[in-house]
Amino acid sequence: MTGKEGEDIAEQYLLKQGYRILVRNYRTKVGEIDIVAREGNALVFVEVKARSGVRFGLPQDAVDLRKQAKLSRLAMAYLRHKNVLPCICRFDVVAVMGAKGKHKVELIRNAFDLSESTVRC
Amino acid sequence: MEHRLFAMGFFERALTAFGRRNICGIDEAGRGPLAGPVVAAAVILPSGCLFPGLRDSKKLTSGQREALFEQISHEACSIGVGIVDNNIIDEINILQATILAMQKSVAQMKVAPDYLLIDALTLPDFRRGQKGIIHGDRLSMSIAAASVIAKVTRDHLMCEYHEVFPEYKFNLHKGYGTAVHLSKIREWGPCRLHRKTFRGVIL
Repeated sequence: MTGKEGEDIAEQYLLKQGYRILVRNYRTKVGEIDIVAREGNALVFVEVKARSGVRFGLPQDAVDLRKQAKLSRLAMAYLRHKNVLPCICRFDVVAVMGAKGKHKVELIRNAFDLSESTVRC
Repeated sequence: MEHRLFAMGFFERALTAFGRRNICGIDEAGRGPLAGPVVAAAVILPSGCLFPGLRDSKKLTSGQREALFEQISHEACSIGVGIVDNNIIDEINILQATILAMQKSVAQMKVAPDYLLIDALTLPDFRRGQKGIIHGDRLSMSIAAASVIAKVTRDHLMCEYHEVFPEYKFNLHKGYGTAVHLSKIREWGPCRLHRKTFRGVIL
């Protein structure tokens, strides 16, 4: 499964869960956020993890500390750029597992906290 | 200018969005002078608190700083001040002394901070989350507020020292290496408030 296919599946899943998708692939110099969405009042930064194999590991291990720090920085960049504050924000992870067609999707709300020392101008 | 003022609350708003409550700005005064202590201040402001007069703390007149000092003292959720004297500065160097003063200022707070925004530094052993911001006093309202508290507290101290050592005119230059100060040191020699680190340079 390609990254894009995983993200498509994740997007469909989030829509079914009642999320509103705001941006797909929000890009900056530092990297990109797969999906930015709203669920109720909350602004949600979503990281999609797609794996075809069985060896996936625990969902909480799917996004390592370095990736968390990077996503935190990207989220700050998004907030500064879009000027949407004040609001409530969080990070969700969508894990897409298995081959296309027989895949399983798992959504982890509030998967991790804003990482330490990531506030940049 | 309105926009600039609003922008100074960005870090505080963003951290609040991610659930941080007591966001604490920290800054220091007195890293550069030849005499007197280094003073650090830690300030937690109520959410959304902006002081229109506080855009660039370095550009304020002493009168404006005094007025802001009163305003901040009145409105802040919590304020801590840490002072490290010239003897310790000589012992452990000015950077370590600055960090120590900042740690003291945090330890003094009645409300425990859960995120630190610090002008250009980070503190060892604070694990709840922190960020050093270059030009923090221009970019964050909390750091700018801390900067004013630190500076005014230190100025007051130096004026008190002036009563003890009137020959150096600490009330005028606050210990910084101005022409007046240097000529007074040449005239009287250093006193116990002078940092040894500088004695070799000026004598």
